[in-house]
Amino acid sequence: MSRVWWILLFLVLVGSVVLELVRPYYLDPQHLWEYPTFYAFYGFVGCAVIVFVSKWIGKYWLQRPVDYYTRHQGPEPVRPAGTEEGENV
Amino acid sequence: MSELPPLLPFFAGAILLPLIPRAARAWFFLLPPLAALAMLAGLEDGTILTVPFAGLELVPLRVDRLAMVFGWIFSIAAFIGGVYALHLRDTGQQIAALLYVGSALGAIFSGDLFMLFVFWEIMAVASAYLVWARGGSTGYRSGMRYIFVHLFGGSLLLGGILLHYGTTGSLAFDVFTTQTVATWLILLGFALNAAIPPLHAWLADAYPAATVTGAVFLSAFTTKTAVYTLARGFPGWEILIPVGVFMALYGVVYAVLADDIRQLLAYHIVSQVGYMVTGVGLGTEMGINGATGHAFTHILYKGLLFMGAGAVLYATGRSKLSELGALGKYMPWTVALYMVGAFSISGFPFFSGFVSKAVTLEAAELLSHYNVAMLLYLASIGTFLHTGLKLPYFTWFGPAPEQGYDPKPIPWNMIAAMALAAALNFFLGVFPQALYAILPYPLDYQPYTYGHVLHTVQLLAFTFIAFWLLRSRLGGEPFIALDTDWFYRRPSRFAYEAGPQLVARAFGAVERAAYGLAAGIARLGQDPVGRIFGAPAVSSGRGGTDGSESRSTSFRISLGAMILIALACIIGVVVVTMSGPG
Repeated sequence: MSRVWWILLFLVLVGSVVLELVRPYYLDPQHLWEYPTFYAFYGFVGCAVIVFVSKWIGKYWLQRPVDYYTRHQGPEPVRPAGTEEGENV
Repeated sequence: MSELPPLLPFFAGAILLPLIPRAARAWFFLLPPLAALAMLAGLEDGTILTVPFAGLELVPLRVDRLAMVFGWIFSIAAFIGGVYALHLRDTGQQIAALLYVGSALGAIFSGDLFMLFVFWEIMAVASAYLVWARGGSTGYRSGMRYIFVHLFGGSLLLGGILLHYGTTGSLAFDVFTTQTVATWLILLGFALNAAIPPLHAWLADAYPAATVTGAVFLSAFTTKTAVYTLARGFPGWEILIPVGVFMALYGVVYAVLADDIRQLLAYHIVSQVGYMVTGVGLGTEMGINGATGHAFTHILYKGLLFMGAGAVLYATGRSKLSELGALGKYMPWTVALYMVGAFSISGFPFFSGFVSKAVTLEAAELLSHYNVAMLLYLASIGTFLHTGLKLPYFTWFGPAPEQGYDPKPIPWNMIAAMALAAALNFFLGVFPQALYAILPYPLDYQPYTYGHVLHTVQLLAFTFIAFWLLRSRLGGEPFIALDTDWFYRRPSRFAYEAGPQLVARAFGAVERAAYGLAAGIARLGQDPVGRIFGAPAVSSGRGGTDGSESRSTSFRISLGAMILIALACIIGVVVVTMSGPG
């Protein structure tokens, strides 16, 4: 990304955090998510958790080779009229 | 004021389309959506059209605010999809799409369960064609699985409807208040079309296999019709709250693993429909407003995302992240317009998803379901991560693939349709009251509060930072991820062995036995005396020396003997008969 975008992003990041620290939305926080800048942490940690947990599930449980279903499939079926050989896109 | 169901232009269009010159059919496709929009404008709230049929009072048209929201967006989506498909010269797909949209509208405006079921089934068949039309083995097999799963769902629905009719004597489609076997079967039938796990695998299986234009239509109608039926029949069924939250996160996890860009988007349909199902489960006026409002914006931005992914497939013939990258310079307009859809689905301020998600989240918070709201925020993070960051980064930016490109130019109409959808997404984001005004219940809500905007910006900006740090782990991998379709795809091999193969083998065994018997009889006929009485075949000694000659000679001899025996028998019978008494 170009330098301009990075500077803009940096301003948004710092700006959104500083703004809430200066002027909190919840004046009397009762829950965890009412503390200032909670959502910044949530975004960062949540994203990392999604990536690691999903990749872990995929690696140890769900991922299979691309031909997993097709390598054992039966002979080519009889095609209904009009669906000729080859893929349309 | 008209009292005609708005599906009529679509069904009439499907009949008339083949009569139009081939080159004009794509343009003709735009007329039914426009006619339907005009008819919707003329429909009055509360209109009910009843038709007596076989002793039943059928209701092909029931107009209320809930149905109207879906009526508007379905007609708009059909128009945008029609513009996207203007370059298409495929009458089959055009007719299927018209029937599909028409039956979706029919289902929305049905006032009774019988009509609903009929349109439900037409939808299944018409939409399956959009998968089949892709051609090739993958499209054909995917389409077959799609239609079978939907016929199974339709059977659940029909069973539920019949049981419900048998016990209550009513076919009216209103809120189901009691939990019976019948209502649960109906709920399961709806849940299958809403792609609620574990009944969702058809979606991620079929949508990536559909045609470029077909997938745009598929993304809009089936799941949202199901959301409508859930909102109509099952508001406040609390089971739908955890189910909806689970859906929202389920789609996110699978989207991490998806390699195909349209499969990634398909899993995000599951995720986004989770918001709507949660809203229905909350059941309050705010919750139903959230579900319907989100369905409205979802159709606009998800259609836009599928159009962008379809443009990539159209231009390159590829749809896998592991085979894409650095494509942005070939299609700058597609990238820019896709990003509008990505910002919308991620809930950026000033884009449509922001204003509709907020209503569902507000509904959850008003009922003190804070954990629900927090988990839906987590799903939002995942949504931005995939559709807003991972997909565009590894498709249009990021490292170039090993195999170079020669992209086809993208037709102007595809760009125009994307621009239209993007404009509507932006419009609804900036003027949320335009959306709120048509929701089923009055809504006095302002999404643009200091806290809401600030928290959303924090959430999304820091998601980006985490993505940027982890991006090396997020590239597409050439794998598939097992989903619940494993339960019918994996055993299919054994079913094939136990079903068609077993029958084929049995036929083979019987066939061999029959041929063996015939061969035995033939051998017996060649030399019956020798075979029966054990005498060796008599060789006349005349003719050649090969066996066939000698066998045929012996056969002639025994034939002569048999004729003599037969003659003797006949003479004997005649003598006995004539010498008898009388």
